[in-house]
Amino acid sequence: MDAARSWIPAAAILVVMGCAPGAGSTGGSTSGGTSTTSSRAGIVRSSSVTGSGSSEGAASSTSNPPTSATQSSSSGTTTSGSGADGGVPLATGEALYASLCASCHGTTGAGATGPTLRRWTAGRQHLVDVIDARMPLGTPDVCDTTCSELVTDYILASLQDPPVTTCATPQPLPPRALRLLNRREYRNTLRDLLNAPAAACTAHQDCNLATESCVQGRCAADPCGTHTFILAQPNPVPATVVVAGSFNAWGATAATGGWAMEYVPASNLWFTKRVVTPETHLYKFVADGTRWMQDTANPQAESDGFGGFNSRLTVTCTGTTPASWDPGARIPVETRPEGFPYDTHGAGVVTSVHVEEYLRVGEEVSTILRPGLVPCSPTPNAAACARQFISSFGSRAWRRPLTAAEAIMLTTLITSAATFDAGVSLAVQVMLSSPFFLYRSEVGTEVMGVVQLDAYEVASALSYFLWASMPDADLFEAAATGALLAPEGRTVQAARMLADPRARDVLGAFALQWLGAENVLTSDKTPQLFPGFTMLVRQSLAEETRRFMGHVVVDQQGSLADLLTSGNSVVNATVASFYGLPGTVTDWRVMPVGTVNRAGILSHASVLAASSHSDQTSPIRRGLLVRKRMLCQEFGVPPANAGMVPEVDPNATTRERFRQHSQNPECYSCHQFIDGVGFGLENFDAVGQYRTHENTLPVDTAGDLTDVEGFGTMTSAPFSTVAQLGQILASSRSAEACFVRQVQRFATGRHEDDRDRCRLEALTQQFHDGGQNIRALILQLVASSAFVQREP
Amino acid sequence: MTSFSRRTLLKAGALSLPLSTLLSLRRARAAGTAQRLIIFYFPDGVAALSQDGQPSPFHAQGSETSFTLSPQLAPLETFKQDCVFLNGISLGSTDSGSHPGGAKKLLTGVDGGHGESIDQHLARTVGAMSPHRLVYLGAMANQNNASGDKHISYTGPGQTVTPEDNPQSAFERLFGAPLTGGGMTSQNANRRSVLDSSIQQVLELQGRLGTVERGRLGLHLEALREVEQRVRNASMMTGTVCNGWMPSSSAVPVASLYDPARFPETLQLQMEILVQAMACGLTRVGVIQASLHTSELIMSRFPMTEMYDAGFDMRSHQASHYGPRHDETRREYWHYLRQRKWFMAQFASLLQMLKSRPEGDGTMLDNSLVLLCSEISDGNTHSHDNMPFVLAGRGSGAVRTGRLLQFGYERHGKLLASVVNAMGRPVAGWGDAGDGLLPGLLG
Repeated sequence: MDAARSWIPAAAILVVMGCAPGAGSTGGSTSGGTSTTSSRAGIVRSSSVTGSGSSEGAASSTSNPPTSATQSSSSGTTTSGSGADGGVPLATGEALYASLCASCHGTTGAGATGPTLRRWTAGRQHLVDVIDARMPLGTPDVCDTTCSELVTDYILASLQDPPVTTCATPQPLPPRALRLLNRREYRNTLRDLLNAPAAACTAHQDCNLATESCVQGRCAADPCGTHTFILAQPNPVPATVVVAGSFNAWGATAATGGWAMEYVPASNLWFTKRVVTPETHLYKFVADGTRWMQDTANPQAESDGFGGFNSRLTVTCTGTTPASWDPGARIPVETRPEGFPYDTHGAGVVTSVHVEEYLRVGEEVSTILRPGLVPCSPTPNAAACARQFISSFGSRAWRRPLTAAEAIMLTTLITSAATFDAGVSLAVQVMLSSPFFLYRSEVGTEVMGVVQLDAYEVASALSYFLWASMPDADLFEAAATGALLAPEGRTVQAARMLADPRARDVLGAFALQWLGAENVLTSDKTPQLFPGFTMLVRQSLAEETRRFMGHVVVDQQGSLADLLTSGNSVVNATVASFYGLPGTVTDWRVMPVGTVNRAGILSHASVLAASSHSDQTSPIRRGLLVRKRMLCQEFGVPPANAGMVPEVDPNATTRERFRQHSQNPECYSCHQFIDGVGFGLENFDAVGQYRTHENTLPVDTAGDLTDVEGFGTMTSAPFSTVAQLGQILASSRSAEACFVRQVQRFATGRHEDDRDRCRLEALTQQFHDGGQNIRALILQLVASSAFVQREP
Repeated sequence: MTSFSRRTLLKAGALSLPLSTLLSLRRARAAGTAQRLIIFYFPDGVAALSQDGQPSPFHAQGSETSFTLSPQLAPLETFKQDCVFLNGISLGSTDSGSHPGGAKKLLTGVDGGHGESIDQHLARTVGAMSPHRLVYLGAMANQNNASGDKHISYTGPGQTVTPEDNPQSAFERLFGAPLTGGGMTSQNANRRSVLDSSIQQVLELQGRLGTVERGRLGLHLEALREVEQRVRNASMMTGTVCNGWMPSSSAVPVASLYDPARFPETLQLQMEILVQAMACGLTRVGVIQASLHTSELIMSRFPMTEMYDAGFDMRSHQASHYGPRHDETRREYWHYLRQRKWFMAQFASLLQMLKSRPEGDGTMLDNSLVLLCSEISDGNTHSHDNMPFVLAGRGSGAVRTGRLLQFGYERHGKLLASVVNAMGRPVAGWGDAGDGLLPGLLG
């Protein structure tokens, strides 16, 4: 027995067989809050009992540990006498339990600082083995095999809850949830509500020239860094115009490097779209190679030293994919206890700050409404046009047909306003501040004790799950015909939706939130140590993870194993350079990454950087990431004095500096499950780059994913590369079950509870039987009756 | 340099002290009821009782009226007569212990945050007539998408709200653009129509839903009514007290909002904005949250401070785990002491902002209560005993200041209850501490 390997962490013992109580994931809250130190004192005191206890029963007392005599101090509990005098064996087990176990596991085994023992389904022998090898905390030698058997029999005979109900029909349904649109959904919904499908085009000038380009036949917003130079036709009319500036050595003609502009007769202007680096530039237009002109449409200018002015352009690309209008930006951040923005029950609360922002956005929207959205002219019949507008816009804004009363109310707003436009403006503001816009409806209809969501609610459930946005025309149509009420109707739509770029956006968001990787964008890194870790790099790394998720799930129709072990990733030039990939990469493409020691999503620098400190790695955070987000295993409260990150000592590796955890039994109890995982990833530094040395010392990546199927299973799974870690997880049933739970959390916007237990089991079994196919899992979720039914 | 700009779209409320505030001010002084409350939170505790048993080097020492401040508290020396220093106050046990347990219980007084926090309670009651019921501002309090138990304001059991981290947004929301009448009135009229409509629809939706969701819609209703009242009263406001006010330094650009080097100025801006909002009668209840628990804030990047170190990152939480004893030769402890002193200096700066504004016969500070708090006492042991609470301001006579109150063991729920009472809400107790006010604090 290794004396140091003792503590089964407070909270979930995930049992291997049977219905694992989902309660494990509610975390290590301890009732009563007794500190670890006091419970240990109890154990030390009671060691004297062991000697007398084991001398009585059937087993021989060969293994009375020599330490027990020296450890006994106070009289401790009263059991020492009674046990030794030939009491009933179970009473001895009871006495042993009371003195050795109760202080951590509770007098009734319900759990305190130690987890509950009332639902042990891993079998008698296994419990004996666990107690023998590990219990009590810190001093497992105190309870030998005989003692372990007695305690086991007592626990199994006297402390077990009635058996958990098997999963029969009808299963409990999920609760009705009023889901507030989160910021991503809010932004996307407004985008889709206000923009008809991106306009078709053949050339840039068919779109909003200043901010959009024609990409594959559709107008799309220009990315940050792409600037459009526009010059109204000057007088006299030139034959050629170029942009000359600090970015192209002031070439006055195309031949000398100037950027040639294109003339658009329909608008009588010249333009060119060019990629401009994020800094400040000076430029002018040059007509016919000789006539230099300031860009008078640009208010930024400075003296050119020749009596004229150069125009000044400053490009700054901050944040993620810049949208010229981000209506969700000032809405408060959502609550994310486990990475995903939960939006129901305790979360998704509207405050006065929200209300003001909704008002403000409504006002902005009403001033930028595209003319095409009001499909008619107020003359000659304003009332009819108002009705038409409300009917089409309103039913899309509220994602369902309006009732007659609603239609009248909204139409009247328009017809009774001072002007038609003012009325439309007010009506739009009313619609966008409405709870029918802000929340996803799950009112449904109650039929025989079950709430059936109506077709439009199902359409929204689908569109927000897969697109984080409102339904499109096809979905509304499918709702109108009732097709969505049948499982096949839903899977057909879901398959279509997964093929749309919006689904990739959502899959990408899932990946970043699930693994905490979105913090690669904001996590502080010490500039002196990591000067190359610019915002451009951070954004590219986040984008890699987003695209990889879409690639595996949609392009490859791949599995969890693919996600964890793939030898490829999706990289652009920045990522390729960051990883040291050979060859030339220009735009995003799939590339093998095995040559740079990477495999699977856990090797993404986004994940590794987000789980590190500013100046050093954090094996603890990485280990916890795997435990919590990949295996859904939770830990109890760390003791006092935990949390100390050792100083970056140039003379020691990270592993060395965390040695305290393996030497101190109080730390080791939990850290035996955490550190071993994190150490295996030490080849990747605090920004996720590969290293073989830490300063001058070689990195030792011997890691171990112990007890992968649950605390108490006492298994060991050594690994020394991230590829091996991925493989261990890929073949783990716990990882499968946890992934299903993560997807469910993301889809339902809440943490799962007992009502979900049986459904999750069934889904997990299907997931396993289907080869862990993620796309299939999504389709199964959508097809399930739980997708369209609620508890009243 | 980003200058603060006024958004022309949204107009704020009061521009001068509204009549209701003037009246309540007069009432308050007569009855000894504080005009306003500011809660100032800083993370990761202080150097207090060490793991090895060394006594707290944070807490003040001496007798009730003759006491000395520790080096950590030194920045409050000039405000000694304006403060009540509180020793021996405990949170009691907490569900998850340590930082999250403390943060959840800090303003709610209930384990696990299963209750309303005092700021929200006051916002709904004595604060409800103000244009803004509650102003909850943060400095890097949403770092890395933080949420949940990192935030200390609970609108209901288990429901936190999020502070505003961007001074520019806070400024716009509070001060907007001045009312000029005319066209602006029609915009306010529109707003009121929209809000009325939303209220009708929320009520209708509530009727169709179960209890839990009805509760959430109830909060939505509350929010709608607060904004509606604000808009309604805005059209009745005249005057120029808040017109044209600008903060003393420029806005922090969005891209730098989470740059630790900008933290000091961000915090300073937020405090200034809150104090000005209170001076203008825009709110009576404010919470300033500096960072969050287990803070990764790299305080060694603060320019022109003792802690500044170009070559080494020392984070707040990292420094808080300084080891089992007070050892200034240890880097963590050395930084920790200076970090805590720095937070005290920010608190002092807040008090100075209040003290420098005349109000009635004295200053704003005389009519305010300002509560300093953190979610733990000693950062290394995560203790919840002998917490670092300091209450400043005379609360219009509700509190006698210039004292050190030393308790053997008192639960902080009593302190919370006393603060709520001092603001004019006669509650018997607060949270799971049971009934009772903190002995000797009020009156």
